[in-house]
Amino acid sequence: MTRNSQGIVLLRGVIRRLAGAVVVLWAAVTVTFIGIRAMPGSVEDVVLGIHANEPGLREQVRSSLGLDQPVLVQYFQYLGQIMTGDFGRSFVLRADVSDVVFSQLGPTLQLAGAALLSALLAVWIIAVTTSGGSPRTERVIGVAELLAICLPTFWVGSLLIIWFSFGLKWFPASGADGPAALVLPTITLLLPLAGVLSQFMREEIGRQLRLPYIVSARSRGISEFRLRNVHLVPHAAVATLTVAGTLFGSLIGGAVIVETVFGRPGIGRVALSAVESQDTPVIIAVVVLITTAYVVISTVVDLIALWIDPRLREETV
Amino acid sequence: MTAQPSLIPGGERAPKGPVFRPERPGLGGLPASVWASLAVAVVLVLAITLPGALGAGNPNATDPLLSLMPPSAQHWFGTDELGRDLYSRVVYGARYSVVIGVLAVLFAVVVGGILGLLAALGGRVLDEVLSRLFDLLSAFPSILMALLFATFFGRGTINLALAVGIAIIPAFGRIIRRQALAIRDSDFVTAAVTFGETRFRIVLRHVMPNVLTSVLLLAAIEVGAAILTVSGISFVGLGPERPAPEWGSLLAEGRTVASYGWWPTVFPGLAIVATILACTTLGRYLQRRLERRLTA
Repeated sequence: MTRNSQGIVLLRGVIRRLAGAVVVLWAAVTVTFIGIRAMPGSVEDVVLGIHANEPGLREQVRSSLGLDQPVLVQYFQYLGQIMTGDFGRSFVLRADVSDVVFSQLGPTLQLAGAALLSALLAVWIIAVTTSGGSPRTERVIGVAELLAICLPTFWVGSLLIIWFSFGLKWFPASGADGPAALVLPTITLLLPLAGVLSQFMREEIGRQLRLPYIVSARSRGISEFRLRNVHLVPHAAVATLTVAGTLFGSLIGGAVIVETVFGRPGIGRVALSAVESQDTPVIIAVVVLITTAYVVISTVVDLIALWIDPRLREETV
Repeated sequence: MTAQPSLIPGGERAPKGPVFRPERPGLGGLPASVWASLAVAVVLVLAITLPGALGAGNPNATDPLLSLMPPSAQHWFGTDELGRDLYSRVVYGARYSVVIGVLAVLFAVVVGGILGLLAALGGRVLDEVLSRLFDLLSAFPSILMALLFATFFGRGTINLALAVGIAIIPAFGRIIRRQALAIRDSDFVTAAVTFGETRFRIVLRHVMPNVLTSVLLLAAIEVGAAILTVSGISFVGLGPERPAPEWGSLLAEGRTVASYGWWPTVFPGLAIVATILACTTLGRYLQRRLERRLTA
């Protein structure tokens, strides 16, 4: 294959993935639109609350929200608004939804980032030190991974609070003030992540350990430390990219639960209280935001894989 | 380094993923972990069908004088804030947590099965679209799905089961697609096509029975995961309405009184963990057995 035609293939792969991303986003927005239409009870009732029976108000709300227009017109207006990042005003909080959601994004990102980084670090250490070890070590680590995945985060979090907050009084039981308040939530959220990642990494490294390039590296006499950290882990890490989408899902879902356990502010809390008060614009905004984040991440991961691994480029022909 | 791995590719050190772990046979040829899991399964079935047989009383009977009593001979798991017997509540909780989890998996098996077969046999475009859909569904957090369901359709047992089930569809869709593809290209299907059987009949008679075993094993593992998700969703307040003693709801109640006592948190959590571990252990054990039989 000439260099030029390889470039075209690469470009085609990029375009295909970007188109896929756009389709997924469009589908998510459309499904939420249909969902709102299928909702029991009317939007006016939520907005009006106890004033639902006052004459004239209902029509006023309908026209101000555009509900008196044909459904197709409403759909395209909705689509246009969301594309410009305008999610309307919250029914309950009387504020712009974008402001509400973005102001709560910080604590969630902080928690998710801390958990992801510490999980990656923990898995790196575990994978480098224990892979290819004795059957007994493998067995112990395997059980630990299983437990990390199976233990409910909301249970582990509560136990940590009982032990470290109420018992030893080391860390605050709730809130998000300062680094001390981040310790227990991070531990809680990193366990299932580290369990999944570690299973995947160790299996991948176990496979790689038997590949010819490792044999040739060993025959050049490089140290075991260098071999593992410089050769093995990056190779296995590339393979780990393929589970990034699933990891993202468990990270976000886990963050919602952990925020509830520790009474932390964040996206999850906003969304949950919006469900309580039937504040649909906020719910939609959170769902669209998270879908967008997923689509961006998985597209970027796909493109990185395409960039790193030439074999994928040939497959796209 | 503790052990020096072999330099020879595929040498004496065979890869030992957690799945292929050799195990010590115990009583009746089954490992102890499998016996423990079977015991948990029996207790769960009893808890769902005959809670009285396990000594559980009325899970909603309150007794203000016995608020937040620690575990005793009378109340094995202690009592909660309203003086309700926690043991009875945990036992009755299986009716919610386990049943919703099983319903979710059943839904995922049916829908995932249909979509997987469509992906495998319906042409390239459909295959591409469905594979993308599977990617998206498996990454979309179940909690958010439950949130959407609660908003759009209201709360309830069935809605919760559907919301959790949607995230499991890809697991079954993918395995069925993969197996259906492998079987489609196998000799006996080619033979059936040669004999002029209809597509529908080939799927029903030849593809389905072959796929069924692996689907059942995956279902055992996924039930554990589904119960974990269900109780998590209940924990954040999107589960069955109070006073349903769903395990996640029990933990949410335990959290509010965590500064007074450990038992409202510890026991419902143990029930969840035992259930999930039992499902996972049984599923993985049967999977290993099947793989060994296939390779032997």
